[in-house]
Amino acid sequence: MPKQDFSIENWATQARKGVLEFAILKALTQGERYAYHLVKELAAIEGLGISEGTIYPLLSRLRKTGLLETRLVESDEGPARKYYNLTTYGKRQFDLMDTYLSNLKAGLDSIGNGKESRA
Amino acid sequence: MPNWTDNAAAYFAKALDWIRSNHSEDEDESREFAEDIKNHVETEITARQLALVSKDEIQKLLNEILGYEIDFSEKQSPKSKEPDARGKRTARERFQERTSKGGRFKRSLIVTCGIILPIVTFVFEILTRACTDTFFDPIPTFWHGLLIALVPVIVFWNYRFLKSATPPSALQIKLLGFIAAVAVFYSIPFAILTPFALIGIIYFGIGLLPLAPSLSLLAALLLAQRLLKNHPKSHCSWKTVGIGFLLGILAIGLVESPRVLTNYALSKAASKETTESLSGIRMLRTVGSEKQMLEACLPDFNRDSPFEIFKSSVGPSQARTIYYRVTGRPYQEALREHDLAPSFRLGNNRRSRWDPNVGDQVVGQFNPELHLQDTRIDGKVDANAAQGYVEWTFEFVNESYRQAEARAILDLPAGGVVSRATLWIDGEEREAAFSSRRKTVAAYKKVVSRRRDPLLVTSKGADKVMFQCFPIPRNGGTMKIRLGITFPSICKTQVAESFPCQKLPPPIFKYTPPKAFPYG
Repeated sequence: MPKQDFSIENWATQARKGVLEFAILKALTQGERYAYHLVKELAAIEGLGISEGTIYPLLSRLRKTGLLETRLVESDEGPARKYYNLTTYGKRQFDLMDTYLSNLKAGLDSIGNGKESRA
Repeated sequence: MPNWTDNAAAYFAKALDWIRSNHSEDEDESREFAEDIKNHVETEITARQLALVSKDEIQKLLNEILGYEIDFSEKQSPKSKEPDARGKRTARERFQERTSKGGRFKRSLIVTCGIILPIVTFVFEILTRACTDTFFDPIPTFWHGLLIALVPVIVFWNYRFLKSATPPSALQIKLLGFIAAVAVFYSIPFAILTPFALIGIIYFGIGLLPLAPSLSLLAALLLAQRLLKNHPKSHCSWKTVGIGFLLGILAIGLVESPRVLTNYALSKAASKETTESLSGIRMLRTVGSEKQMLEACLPDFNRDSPFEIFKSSVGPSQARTIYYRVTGRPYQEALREHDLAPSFRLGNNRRSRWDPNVGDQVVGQFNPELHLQDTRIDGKVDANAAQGYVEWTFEFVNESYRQAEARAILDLPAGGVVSRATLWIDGEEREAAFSSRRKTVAAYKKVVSRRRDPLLVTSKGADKVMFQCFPIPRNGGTMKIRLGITFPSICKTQVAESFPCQKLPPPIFKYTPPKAFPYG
């Protein structure tokens, strides 16, 4: 019997890596979000497994690649608030990601449902 | 508004500085990230409605947000432990992580012990020859000097690859093994001095030089370890270092082989068996080093190597006979032509001739670098006592790099004797003791061999004495002596004529006859 050392944690880490950016973009599809609340919501998603401090560099990278934009709003209650929003380019990319993932999920769901083809 | 403690504010400011410095190489990115974290923390504190913000709160909050605990001693944030959005770190990020871990102290050690210390030690020995004069000559030939000089050069060359993403070549790793062999070779004789060096460092703050070979060995091995760890795909391993080490041993063997062969041939030539002796002579004529044979004729020859196996068992007198048999000429004649100065010598390129008669009862050959710097005669004639007494003071200066002995034969006035002899030691006058010739000569030789400060005055026939004093310090060192001479009283002109300085038998040192005799 072969050795049983498959790590579900490693697989989960690999699986998460692909959807982080998608999750950020999806969180912004409803409109502009305050960075603090956006980060808290994403960090709370069970299974995503990232810390709040890790999301900020991702947001920064997405902003630099043109998918997000930011604006600062002065606040009387504390520091200036940074708001994130999808750019037009970002919206388009999100739609493509969404379509891709939907097709992928459909394809994965179809595994084992079709009849075997015979030559 | 929440109240912050001073500690909390200070800690938070320090943490933000650390984040700015270590988050990323991109300064703008780091600044933005630090700003985001600052805003997040402040917003979190407001959201939690904390009345008092302590340092522990801030620390805990930052740990939660960042996902790791800040270690201010680390120079790079562990952000690379978190996978980026694409799921893999770049090779550069992995390399940076490897090179940053615990590297600063080790890099400093490599630079200090592998580059700076060897250079300082090498230059110090070339300029002062301190080890040569005290223990053994670590740089007897050009090739020895080259091997030693290679140590800091190769360490420096490889050190530049510590922070470079370009892996070192196999040649570079082998060269590290090569210089490790050189360092081991020199570490062995200096190992005896290690305890004294450590005491010197602890109590006096000095003493690193004898540790230079051991420390450079440590630096070379540490550098090899870091390079192999930083570049695991470089196709190099400790085996590569080992190959270089063996090549280093081979190089040392080649460099030492003339000395080993010459010593072996000398030992054979000194054999009482005629066949073996002839074989040794033939070997010396073929592969023997003439310089080494000449050095064997001198008393200090065996100091050139710290290793027993490299030392010759042939004494100077035997070596002189062998030299004559090998070359057909006396060693003294050859000594006049050969410069036995160490191969590496800076600051003094004059030919410093070796004095083969140190401690002997002969004046010997002229030493052009030993001068009579000052001479003075003071005296009085006591007509009532019918005797005269003069004190003749000599001051010598030695300009060679070796310690020297001054020897001369003096003519005394008829019936005169040396009744007093004085030697200045550290500025203080020390009076000599009188004893039989045998005892005084033996005592002098004993003290000479220990390089202490003796003065010997012996009779050399009627109205003649020979004086000799050693060691006159090298490189401009001086030595002062005074001889008190008592003689039967005679008329003034006879006194003047009795100190025929111009008629002195040629002394070993250079001198200018003194000014007019005071009683002339």
